[in-house]
Amino acid sequence: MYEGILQNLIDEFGKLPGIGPKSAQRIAFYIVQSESYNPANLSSILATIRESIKFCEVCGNVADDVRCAICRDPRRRGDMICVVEEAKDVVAIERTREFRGTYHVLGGAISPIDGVGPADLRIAQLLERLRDTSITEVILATDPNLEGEATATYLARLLADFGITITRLASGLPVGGDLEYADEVTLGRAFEGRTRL
Amino acid sequence: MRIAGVQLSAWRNYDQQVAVFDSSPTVLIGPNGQGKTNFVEAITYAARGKSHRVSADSALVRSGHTEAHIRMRVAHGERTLDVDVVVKSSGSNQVRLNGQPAKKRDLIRLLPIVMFAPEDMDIVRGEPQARRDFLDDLLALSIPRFAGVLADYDRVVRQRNTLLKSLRSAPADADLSPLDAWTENLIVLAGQIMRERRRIIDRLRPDFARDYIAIAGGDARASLALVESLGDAVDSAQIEERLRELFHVKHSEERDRGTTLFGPHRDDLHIALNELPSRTHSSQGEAWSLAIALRLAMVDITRETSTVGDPVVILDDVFSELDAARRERLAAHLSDIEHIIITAADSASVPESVGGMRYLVTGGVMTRA
Repeated sequence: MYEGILQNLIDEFGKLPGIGPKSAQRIAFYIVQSESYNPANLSSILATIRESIKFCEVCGNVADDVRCAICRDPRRRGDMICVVEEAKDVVAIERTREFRGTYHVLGGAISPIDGVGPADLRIAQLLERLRDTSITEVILATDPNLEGEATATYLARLLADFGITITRLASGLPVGGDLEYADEVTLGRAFEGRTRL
Repeated sequence: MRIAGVQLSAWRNYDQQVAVFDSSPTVLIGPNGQGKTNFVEAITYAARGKSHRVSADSALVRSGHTEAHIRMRVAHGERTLDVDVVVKSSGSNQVRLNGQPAKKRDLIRLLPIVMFAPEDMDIVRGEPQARRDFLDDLLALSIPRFAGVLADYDRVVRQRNTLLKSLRSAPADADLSPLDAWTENLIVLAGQIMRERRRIIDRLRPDFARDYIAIAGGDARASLALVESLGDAVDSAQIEERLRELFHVKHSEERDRGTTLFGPHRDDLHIALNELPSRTHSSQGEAWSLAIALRLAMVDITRETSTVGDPVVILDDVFSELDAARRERLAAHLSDIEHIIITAADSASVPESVGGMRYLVTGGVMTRA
């Protein structure tokens, strides 16, 4: 334990996801001691980030305006919506440049243990968007874990009567990997989802 | 497969311990409370990523330390594998295989271990949970993928139960569609587990009956039957359909009780000797022979399915529970296993015929006898 304010700083970093006690200590000492690093930039951003950040009123993605850059972009296809758990999933899918539709960020996945139910997610807003009859396909891209699967199952049932095509991202082998090192669950899924050549 | 060496630091009552095993069996002798079981627990921990005795890792780290290390080298023919596990008293532990980060669920297929322990008596006489645990261990050993399926199922049941509890206080017309989503995912996993349990019990049955006679002598018929929460025998292809039906019909009862009433977590294994239920009708000696026959059948099945040779067989304080004739039969039955590790408080309880290298364990220190 260090004294006073330094320990407070370490504790604050330690509360952040992905930062353990050692990293928290390293970052704190770097901020305190490094001559080349100016913590004023970080502190001014941190002071206003929560007030200045906006979430797109359409899709829930992080935005710098009322609507995010993707929802504002007229070149994006309006007939496909890709449903994801978090804004960082949008970034991941955007990197592929495969998808030209728009997104819908749920803000999490259904998990009773964590007290998260459908009402805590942006599902009502999704239903609202689907009133637009030009939308023909909803892609469920929630995480391939238990909570993500349950959320996808829930949404698939909820949207079944909308007359829209509902699809789920495929699970399978990582590209560039070795078959022999794939875990059994992934390999089993890849078999289930095999495609005809 | 055999264990070539183990290195422990700050594990249970061990400070620093290096043990090299170049032959089988390995016999650990020492009074109770000196660290014999702690040592074999380290081996099973490195092979499973969990303890068979405690659920919280904090008990595994020597007092005054924040983390314990287990390093273990296993060998199968010319191939060796180094397992390196860091157990932290708080926070998640780390597993490395040959220096590369690995997941706990990868361990079971690379390090098959069958352990016989005094707690095995619970499989015969204890609560259904002990028998389900036995079946699940056996499933994971014979189909490594199932370690993950079982863990997933466990989590889905917990999620669903939490939801059922929260619905208990909800109005009668509450939206049940989130429950339906969990039910559907639970059914998919339950179906896989139940089908595989049926298959593995069919496979276990003849070995179990034969192994019982091999240990107990005589000609008593030891038998196994799965008792499923589904009720009357349901065809394997119809498990999912039947579950769906039950969950539909019984959902208000489930909400009242706040728990999932059907599925493999509610099943039991019925063990009988000459058609009499062993849980209530077996003598102490019979119950021990049944427990040992179950573990031996587990060894048989694991030997057939393993890709890395025999499982390592650990007999933790088991000989002392048996009479001389059963000790000899058990030792004879396991004599061709590649590596057996035996612990005993009294070296006289280990049959002479076992031979092997003996070690003394006192106060968390192991030395060659």
